[in-house]
Amino acid sequence: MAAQPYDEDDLIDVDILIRRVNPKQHVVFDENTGKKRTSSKLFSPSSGPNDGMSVDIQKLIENDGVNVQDFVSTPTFTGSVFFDVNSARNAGLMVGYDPIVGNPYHGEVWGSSKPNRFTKSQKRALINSSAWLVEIPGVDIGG
Amino acid sequence: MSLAWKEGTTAFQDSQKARYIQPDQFIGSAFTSYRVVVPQNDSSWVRILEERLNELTSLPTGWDGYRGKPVSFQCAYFVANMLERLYQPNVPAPSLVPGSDGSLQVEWHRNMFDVELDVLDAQNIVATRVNCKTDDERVIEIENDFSEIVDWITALSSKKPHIVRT
Amino acid sequence: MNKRPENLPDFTLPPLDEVVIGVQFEPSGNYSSIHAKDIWELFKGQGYPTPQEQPALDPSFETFGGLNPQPGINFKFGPPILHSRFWFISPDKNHLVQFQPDRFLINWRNRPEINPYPRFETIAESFEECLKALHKFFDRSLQSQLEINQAEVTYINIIPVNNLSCIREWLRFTNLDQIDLEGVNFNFSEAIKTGSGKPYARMSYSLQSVTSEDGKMNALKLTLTFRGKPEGTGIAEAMEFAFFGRSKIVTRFTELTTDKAHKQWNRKQ
Repeated sequence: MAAQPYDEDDLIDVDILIRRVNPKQHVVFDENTGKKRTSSKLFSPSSGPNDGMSVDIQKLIENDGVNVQDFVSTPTFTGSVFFDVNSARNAGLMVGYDPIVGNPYHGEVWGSSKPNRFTKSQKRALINSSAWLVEIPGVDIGG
Repeated sequence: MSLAWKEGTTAFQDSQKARYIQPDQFIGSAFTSYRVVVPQNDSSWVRILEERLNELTSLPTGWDGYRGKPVSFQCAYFVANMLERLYQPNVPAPSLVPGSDGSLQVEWHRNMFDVELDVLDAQNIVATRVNCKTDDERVIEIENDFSEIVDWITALSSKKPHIVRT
Repeated sequence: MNKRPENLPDFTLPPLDEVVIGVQFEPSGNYSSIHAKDIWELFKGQGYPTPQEQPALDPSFETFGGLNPQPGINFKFGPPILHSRFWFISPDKNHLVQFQPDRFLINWRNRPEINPYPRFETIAESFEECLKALHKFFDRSLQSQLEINQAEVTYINIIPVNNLSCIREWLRFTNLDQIDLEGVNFNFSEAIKTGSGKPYARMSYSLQSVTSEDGKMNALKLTLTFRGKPEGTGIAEAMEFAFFGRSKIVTRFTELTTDKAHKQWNRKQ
């Protein structure tokens, strides 16, 4: 069960959040640009009442001496993108810790008025501030 | 409207009063009784979707690297229903993108439009269309009536569709 | 118990052969086949002791709009179905409860030599009691809520006829006198809308010719189904939907059938 939505003081603006990308499920072909890109659904929260969007919190991984790229690419190879906490907060979102079984570095990004709903402009803000951590070749970050 | 004359018999006893119907027809659950066969069932939408929906409803837990669930069967069935309604022959099949919570987004990106139907649950859709030329955006919440988005789909077609109304 | 609407047409000897009331709901993620026995215990105590197993029904949603008519989903997808549909049958075999993880229905069928037609209100009362028991089970044992997303009412009528060509003696919407009919099988439907014009349910009509087992007697099977999305996900809203559906069915049935038929069925009002 997800933690109750909150904004973590310990996470400062420059802290990095990682969002994993499944190359088979999250990537679409955009005929308007003629390129493959990530779907906007990648930057959507889950719909349960306290649910948000799952992320990995980079500094927690590093503090444990674990290789970041290795960690976010297992057990299944996935791509991943990253953005900073400041970008999320500027979009009106909250960020908090939410450790789960198998991932003590797990966090959530929540909407502020509705934790489980991001507006289109919030998603766009996250997309625009994201870059590849583990790149999927030939795929743009979009949505 | 009409089906082929397939069924002609239901057994019953006693012409006067009791209308006994054989057990397999006693259970008159109408949920499966009334199906109209859509003539375009051989369309590529159906062929592509069947495989993809099968894949999405069979995704392993954690498919997204976190706690992702497979697309729920009811959600997938509802999406199939919606797509049968919206099908137009000159529009290619959409992309289907799963959500971590078992939801499903149906999307097209062509003709300088982005159309995304985010099916959060059966009968709970957030439909969005962005005009890529003007950046105009329209968002509609839909339950089970797709009338408002038919024109969105038509605008995605390769050429003027020949629409046969039944 | 809900009272029958005063102005609703009423027949002493209707050709009613079966009544079905049902709901579809979001399945609980905590349900597994192990719970089937507990479900049986639930309905055994309510007068449905005899179990039988059937293949599960596919989900079904009434939808509207788009360029194509109400779809029949003809392709199969998803993991192998793990759960059956269970029937729990009353000792007199007149009543039946159906359960599968996303569906619950109650059926009554006509066997007047055993019991007369109990009237819709009585069937609905049994349905509601069983549904409430199921809801409690979901809450207590599965930690889930019953969230109803579709409801339906079906009336199945069997009208004996001497020959099929005299259909219009019984039904207003047919005139097939000149045709030596071998069989009849057609369907039509109408969208039911709110006051503001938003569709929320569908009334489906089906007419089929049927014969007795020995092939000597003919009849028409006229089925009316009212199905759609209740206003809320709770039991109260589903029951309200069912009662409204019943009224709609009885009204339409009366409109579609002839005065001669009404006399035969002893119309009281």
